[in-house]
Amino acid sequence: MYVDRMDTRTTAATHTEAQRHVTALYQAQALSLARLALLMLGDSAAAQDVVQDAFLGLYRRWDKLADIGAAPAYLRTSVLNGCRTLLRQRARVPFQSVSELLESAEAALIHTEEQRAVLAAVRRLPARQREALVLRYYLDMTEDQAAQAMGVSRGTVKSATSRAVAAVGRMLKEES
Amino acid sequence: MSTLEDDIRDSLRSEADRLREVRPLHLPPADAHRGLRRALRPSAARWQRPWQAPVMAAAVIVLVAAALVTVKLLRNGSMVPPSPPGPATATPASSATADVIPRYYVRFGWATPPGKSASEGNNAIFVGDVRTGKTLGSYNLPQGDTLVWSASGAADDRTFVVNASVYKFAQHPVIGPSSFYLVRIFPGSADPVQVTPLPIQATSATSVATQVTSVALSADGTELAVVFNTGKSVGLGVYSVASGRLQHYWSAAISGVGRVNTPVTDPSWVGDGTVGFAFILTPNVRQDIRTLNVNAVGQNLLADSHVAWTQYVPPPPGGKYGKGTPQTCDTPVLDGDGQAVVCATSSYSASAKRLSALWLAYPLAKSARPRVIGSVQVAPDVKGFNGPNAVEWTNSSGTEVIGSWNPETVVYSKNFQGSATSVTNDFAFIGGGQIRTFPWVPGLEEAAW
Repeated sequence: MYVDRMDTRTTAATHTEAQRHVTALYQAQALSLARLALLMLGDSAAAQDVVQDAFLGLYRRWDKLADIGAAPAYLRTSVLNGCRTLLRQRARVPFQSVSELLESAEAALIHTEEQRAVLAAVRRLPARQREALVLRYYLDMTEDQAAQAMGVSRGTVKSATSRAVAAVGRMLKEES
Repeated sequence: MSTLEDDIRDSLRSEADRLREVRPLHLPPADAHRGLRRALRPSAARWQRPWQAPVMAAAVIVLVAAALVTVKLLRNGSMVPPSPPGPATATPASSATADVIPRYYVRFGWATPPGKSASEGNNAIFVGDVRTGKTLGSYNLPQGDTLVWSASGAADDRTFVVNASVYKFAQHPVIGPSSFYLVRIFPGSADPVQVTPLPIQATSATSVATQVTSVALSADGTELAVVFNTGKSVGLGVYSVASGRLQHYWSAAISGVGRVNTPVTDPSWVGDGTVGFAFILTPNVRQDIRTLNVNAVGQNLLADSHVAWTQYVPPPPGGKYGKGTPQTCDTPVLDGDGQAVVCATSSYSASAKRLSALWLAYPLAKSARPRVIGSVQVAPDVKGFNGPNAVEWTNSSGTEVIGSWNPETVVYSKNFQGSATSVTNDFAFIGGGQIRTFPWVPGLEEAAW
């Protein structure tokens, strides 16, 4: 007897337990992580690439994950690492993509003039200072939590944040 | 806090809010995730790699006792007859009259409100009809990331209990509590799906943070068997569905087993006084089906239960288990009559060069050979199965199953450098002389009957 074979859909994304869990995590976490990466990179396409890579990394290492409760922390660390890597590459090859230019135009319509100035100043900060600022003021992390996420000491977070705020203030004054 | 810091915070949030959607996640059909799948369906995947097919061609991969019967039938063509090239071929084992096929199922999924983006959706319980492929209704779960769930249906095909453990991921993840819901289906009514949270407290059994790994609803829908894993022990509790009261709890300390590797799986009810469960401490080497009298006294899950059936794979020559070693039958579940263990496996016919998914029933009587419930011969281009084949449901006499199998096909595309693997999730009712595949429904791989 022949049976009609169901259509040859590709449902690999949800097939295994790992896929199901990672997909569920993606639905819950991807947007907030992409926003975090956007603040670090200033480019939403690159931010989404970094996030996709982080989830792909989690998926590949799922078997080694001792506790699924640790997955979000793993993902955030992966995203931050991905951003740092990308920023290092950009530092070597200064480049502004078309998408970045378009985003700049879009951002100009969304943000107030003051916000645009603040964001421009934040983007000019050294990567570590920017990261400290994002973790402390966007994610509302404590200094200890930010230190853990950045892999540095609490004192480093404190000084990086303080310097970053001072630098932003200085740049805003220069602008005005 | 200074105004400048407030400005920085507002600016960062405004910039972050600019991103309102992320593109869908694209995961490769990788094969590095057998561990968790094994944990829930404890036997290892077989035919994991295309190259395994020729390697394994010399031998049939079902377990020794079953294999001898199965292979013989395969080779003489009585079970899987030679067939012309084409789509999957299904072969029932007998021509008995079909019993009632379960029509309704529950599944876990992501509900996106009309006109909203996926990120604005919610985890939800869905109720569907396999006959029409339609969804009858859904019920939103509490906010969070529901990463663990299980469900079981009563014999009336209208009553289900769903367990969902909601995980909220924050700086410090909040795990649980594990919630239970009664799902009742009223076909044809204005409100065909009614979902009621049940007063079952998982912590009433274990008193510590725990994980529900599987549930089994009694045939009359009045009692629920719940399997727990606390990380240090496994437990089985029996609850009253009506009152949520814990009636009895058994546990066993298990060292060196992670939360995702629960050795107690596939619980089922035999009548209203016995629960059967699979005990698999060494996957693919030994698995037992144990029975537990839920009306008897006792607290020790292993001491108070009895081994009713065992499947053991002796070490191969050289003593080292490997890819070529026969494997145990997947998802062993005791049928409702308590007379047979139903499970799923696969078979490769060297002569026909064809791969089949196979569902077997092992009578508990000693020396009885397994009975073939049915088989599905997959298309010639299928190179293996992505994960173990499974028994999703079986009738009380172990003569019918809803089976699932996941054929892998290597596809070549101009867009890829090389090849990619396409995986399908296939389901069918098998037994009573019939094989009926279900219409494809998104998320059906998460269904319970």
